[in-house]
Amino acid sequence: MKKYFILTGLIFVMLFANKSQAQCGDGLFDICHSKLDDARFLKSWAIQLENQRSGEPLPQVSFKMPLTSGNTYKIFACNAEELPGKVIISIRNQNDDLVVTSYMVEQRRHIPVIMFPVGMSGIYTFSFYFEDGKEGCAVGVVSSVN
Amino acid sequence: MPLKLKGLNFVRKKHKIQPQLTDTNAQNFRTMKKERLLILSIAMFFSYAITSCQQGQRQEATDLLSDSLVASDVRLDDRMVGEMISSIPNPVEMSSLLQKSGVVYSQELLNPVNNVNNYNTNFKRALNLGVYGTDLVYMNIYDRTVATLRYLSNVRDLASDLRVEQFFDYETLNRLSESARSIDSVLFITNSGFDRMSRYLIDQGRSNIAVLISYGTWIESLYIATNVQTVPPNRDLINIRIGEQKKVLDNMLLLLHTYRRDPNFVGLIEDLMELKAEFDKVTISYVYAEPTMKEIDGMIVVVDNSRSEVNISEEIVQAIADKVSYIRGKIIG
Repeated sequence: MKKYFILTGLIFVMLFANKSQAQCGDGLFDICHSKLDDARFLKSWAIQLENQRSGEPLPQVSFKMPLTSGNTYKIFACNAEELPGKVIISIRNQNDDLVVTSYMVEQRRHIPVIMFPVGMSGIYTFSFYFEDGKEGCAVGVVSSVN
Repeated sequence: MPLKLKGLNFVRKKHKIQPQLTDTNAQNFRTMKKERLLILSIAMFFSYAITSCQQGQRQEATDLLSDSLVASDVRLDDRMVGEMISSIPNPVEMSSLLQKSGVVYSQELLNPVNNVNNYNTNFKRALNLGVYGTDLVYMNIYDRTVATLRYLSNVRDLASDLRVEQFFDYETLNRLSESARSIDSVLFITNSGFDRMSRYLIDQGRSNIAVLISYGTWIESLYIATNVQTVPPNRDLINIRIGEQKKVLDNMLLLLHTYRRDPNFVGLIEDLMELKAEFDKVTISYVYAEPTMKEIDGMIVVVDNSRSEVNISEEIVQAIADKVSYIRGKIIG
């Protein structure tokens, strides 16, 4: 009887593994895209990172994107609720200088939206990681404000 | 009679269920029920596993372009390709700039609708999916919503040939295209569709196709920008935007170089190297300064104190335009 439970369990795990992935991915995109308001969608990324392991660097993922001077960009991210990690966005210019981050370290506070009127055209690096290196799933969106 | 199936022995038995079972019969029945359940579970497991494998095989086997890359070491760089591909600008920005600058809409700049029938290879289809995608964005920005329907159909056909049509909601796009008031919705569906498609292709190990689509997108965007009729001072601003593509070109070359073992990609790299020779005449200077930040209504507003300055002459723009026209002609031809 034990064998049947294991087999049935295995089948359920396989079936639900796919569903939970969809929940973290596509569903979250729809939720996050609905927060664009009047901004024009440009780019979005899926971010899914595991817990930080002791002695290892903070897990993060980075993407490059060109931003143009004279344009204002609205940048934000949405967290999947089923995982504990709260996403942090940091943007660096092509000189690798930190321009802005969505997390106020001293106040331990997350800022939901970054408005970035760009003065210097170039390829910027968008890095995403989760507060305290917790496991998390999020979607990051870059849009332009007319 | 024992039935042998790939090393597994099954015993075929006949059962008759009596209204009242004896202890022995009941025990036999329970045993047989368990066996059936076991066989059913194993069958479900194998059918799930086989279906998953078949899905994966179908995607790779029918895409010759993808097959040509499986044996190379390129697939190792898929993650990096995913990170880099975002550095190719979205055509929305260039088209928006043209529209804001008062540039007149020009249908003859776009890839003719009927050309779609000439694209018989996945290589050409991927490139021109990017081209038609950019044309679609350009038309939408200029409110040519009704005229977009045939371009939309081309995007659908090419995406279908490449087996990525699931990322575009054509029915909604068709419906929205009938109303000029829905431009932002049309742009969003088109844009996010391309975005998801690119992500999917990379996840599926078909990043080469994603790169080709991006290449087609970028070249078409550059072609439109270098060929529109404008007058100063709008021309100056557009020229600056063209000059800024110097950085994008470097990233595009890096992406294409990943697939240098494919002869099709070698041709693209050679074309871009010629274009690079013209872009190398553009100078861009940067002044870096510490940004400042303000918090307004719960948002961070960055005050960017850095500046960039692009130095590009009309002659350089013309040389770039000629080269881009040549490359674009090869793509759409």
